Amino acid sequence: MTSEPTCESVLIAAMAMADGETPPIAPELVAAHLSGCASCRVDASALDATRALLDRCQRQPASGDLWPAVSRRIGAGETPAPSSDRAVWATFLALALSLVGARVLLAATPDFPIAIKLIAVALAVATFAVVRENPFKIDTGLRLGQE
Amino acid sequence: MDDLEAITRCRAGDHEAFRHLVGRYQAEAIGHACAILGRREDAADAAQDAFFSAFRALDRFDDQRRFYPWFYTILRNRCLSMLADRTAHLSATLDGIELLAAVPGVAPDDLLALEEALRALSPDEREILTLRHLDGLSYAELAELLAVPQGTVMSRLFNARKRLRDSLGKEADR
Repeated sequence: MTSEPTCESVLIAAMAMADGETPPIAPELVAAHLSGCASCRVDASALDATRALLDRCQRQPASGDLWPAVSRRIGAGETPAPSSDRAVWATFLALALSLVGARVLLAATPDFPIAIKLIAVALAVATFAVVRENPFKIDTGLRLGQE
Repeated sequence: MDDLEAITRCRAGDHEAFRHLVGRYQAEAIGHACAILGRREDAADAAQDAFFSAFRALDRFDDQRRFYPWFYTILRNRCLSMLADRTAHLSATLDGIELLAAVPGVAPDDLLALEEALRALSPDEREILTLRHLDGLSYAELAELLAVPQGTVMSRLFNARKRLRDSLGKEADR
């Protein structure tokens, strides 16, 4: 048993056919629905007129050369960024090592003065400084990489 | 030089090779950014930013892909982030024709009405309509560029056309 297509699915199929694309439902079903649905005939005709108007238009041509500005920025940044994956792994590895180091230091020196314990904190801070990366920031570069 | 050769040379340190990609795609990129942002000046800024980001991300480019669809994702993200940051500024400065060129057979008033109607749409709607009708992309090409299934392309295009028709109707009633 084949269910009757909805008005919207018929209009979408009619649009695809007018665009020269394969419609999601059979053309015979579209024709049959349109012949019996005055509202869809009106809608299909209006949508087709909109399509025809758009098809007659052209994009305004772009002028200007972006290369000088892009080139300047490339020159200032010098080389492409290293692989993001490598940079992220290096960051987290360095952070993990420093935290483990801090934990070991704290465990080994329960009675040491606070100044000594601060060395552990300094280690973690130094990690941030050395890798020049805040591992808690949102890395938009990662998103680009996945795309 | 083809795109892949330019990319390979860039990765090897020949930054000048990136000129090939900028030269080849800048007009397209500005046009596409303009469709999303609605303003040519912002579009040029977005395209410039996107080319620079693409250059920095070339290490992550998959050589099996075509350059422009990959670049388009970067460009689109940049445009959307500009819109999110500067909505008030952008909407306040929109006037005149930025998207469409004068063509024989379309009266200037009709062109202006169409531009106004396009501008009343959401960036997504404007984007898919202009890619389809001004660039003549097929549904398969739209699906690749927008990274969505063809069924989604059809429903988005249908809704955008319906909104444009309604918007044109409102313009005509004024």
